[in-house]
Amino acid sequence: MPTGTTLVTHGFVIPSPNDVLLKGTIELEKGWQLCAIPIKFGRWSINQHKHIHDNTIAKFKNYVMDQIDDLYGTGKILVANTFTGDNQYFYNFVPNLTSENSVNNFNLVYNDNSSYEVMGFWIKSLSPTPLIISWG
Amino acid sequence: MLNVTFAGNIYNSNGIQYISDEVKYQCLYYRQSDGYIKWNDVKLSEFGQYNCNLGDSDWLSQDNVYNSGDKVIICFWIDNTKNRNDLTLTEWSFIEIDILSDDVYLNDVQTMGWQNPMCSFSTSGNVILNNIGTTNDQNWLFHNVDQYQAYEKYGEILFDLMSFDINSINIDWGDTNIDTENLQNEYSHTYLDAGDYHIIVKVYNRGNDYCQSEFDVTSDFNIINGLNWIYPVYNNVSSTYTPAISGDTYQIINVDYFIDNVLTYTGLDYNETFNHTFTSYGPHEIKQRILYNSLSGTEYKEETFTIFLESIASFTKEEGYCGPRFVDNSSVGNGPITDYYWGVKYNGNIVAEVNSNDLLEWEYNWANEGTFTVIHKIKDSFGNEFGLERIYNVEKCNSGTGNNGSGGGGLVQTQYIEKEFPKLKVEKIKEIDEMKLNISIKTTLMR
Repeated sequence: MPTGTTLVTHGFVIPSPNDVLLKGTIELEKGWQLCAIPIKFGRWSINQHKHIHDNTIAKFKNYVMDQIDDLYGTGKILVANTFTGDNQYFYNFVPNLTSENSVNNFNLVYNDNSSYEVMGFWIKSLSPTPLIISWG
Repeated sequence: MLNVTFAGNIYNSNGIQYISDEVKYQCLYYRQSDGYIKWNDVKLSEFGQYNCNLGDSDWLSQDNVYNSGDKVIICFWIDNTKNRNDLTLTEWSFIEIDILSDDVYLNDVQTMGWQNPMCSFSTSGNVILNNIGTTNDQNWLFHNVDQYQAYEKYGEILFDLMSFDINSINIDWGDTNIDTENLQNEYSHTYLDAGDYHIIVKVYNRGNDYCQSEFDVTSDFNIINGLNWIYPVYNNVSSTYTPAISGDTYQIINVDYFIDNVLTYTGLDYNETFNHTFTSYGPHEIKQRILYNSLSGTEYKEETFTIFLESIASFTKEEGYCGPRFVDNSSVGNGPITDYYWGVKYNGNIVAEVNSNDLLEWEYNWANEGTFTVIHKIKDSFGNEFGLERIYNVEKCNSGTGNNGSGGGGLVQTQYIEKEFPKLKVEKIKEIDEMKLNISIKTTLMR
């Protein structure tokens, strides 16, 4: 899995829950950035300031948003949108508004007929300086 | 990629956020440039929140774009088993968003139940109740966001229950008469007796909430001017004028008439006729002034009537230098005459014609013997035309010497004698009453 902005879409079989084979970082520039994070399980620990790869389903909020808030402070992200191919709908995660239990807090990886789809998503940074986030 | 997010929290009328999917909502896109409308599918709230995207396949999808200044309306209602057009919704509202260039629009929403409509009436006349803007539309501010309740917007029905039902207005006229009507622009009432009355108007919405307006009005005696006369009226001919005054005539003291602003007939009864002869061309004005006892003393009630006169086209024939000379002696109705026309017809064809605004007489040489028709028409300042035709049988009588006046020697001219046919026809060709826009044709046989 390369780092950077490559959008990974379909077909990865990601061992779970504890074998994390894929690692990476991405630098979010100000404005829109297209991302994909191939992590099925795990979360960001605000106490430990790092990812914990337990049985928690990795979602945008607990894996990405909490990481950014912890490392850079709140108010750095305007919105994150992913677009599902099945029904052609957006999932719209709005920081400080969208409930963590909402479907709009989308999974980073979905199970689609026994194969795993890594969700590509658009994220809009309000930070004037790049935000480096990592996974794995 | 079309990707514009609309999201926010939804609160009830008590300001408490809904916790689950209690609320239904639906988003409307309105394009300013051509009025294009697109609703998305009805959705349920999630954890007391709404969330939708303009680029969703059930809304504009990825096949469309929007323009800055277009509108988005999002309607919310409970309970979630009902449709938006249900008349028994418990709470409802909508917000309106101007789409500019933002990627995310965050607005909180508050639903609200029935609220009192807003009455806006005025009174006029004797007595008219004017609805000048009574509305059931509501607007309030919640978390710095304008919240609305309305029946429709941009031609789209938002909430059917916001329309006024039939018989939604109740008017107590203060004289024991109470009317129940549909909401409309104007209501009138006639009081049987003059006096002071207190009007109470109530307008109910479908939730049985109402607004109320009250007025103190005075209904005075009702005096209605009127005057009739026989048409046509000619100059220098007496005509009879008959009052047609109606209403509370028992309050009338007397009636005066001003002819062209000169008090001419005074102290007449309300139904007393008078004769008058106009001696100058018209039109003329007759002002009827009624003196009557009102609630506050004696008052005048006036109305002015315009009398348009008819003309009668006529002329005489005299001997001219080389032939007959026709001289206008028409009776002028609505002066001045703006056009005099003369013409001669032989064998059905016009063989000579002239017209001018000052051609009061015209000299013509008979071209040969035979039967000629002389036509004379006049047009008054109101554009009405009046005409006359006379037929002359011209027979060769003798030869004489004439002069064409062009200088030089004499001109031998045959002179004729003519005989006017005994039956003359006076015809008013056209008359336009500009006030009433009537067109009438009148034919009078003379002698």
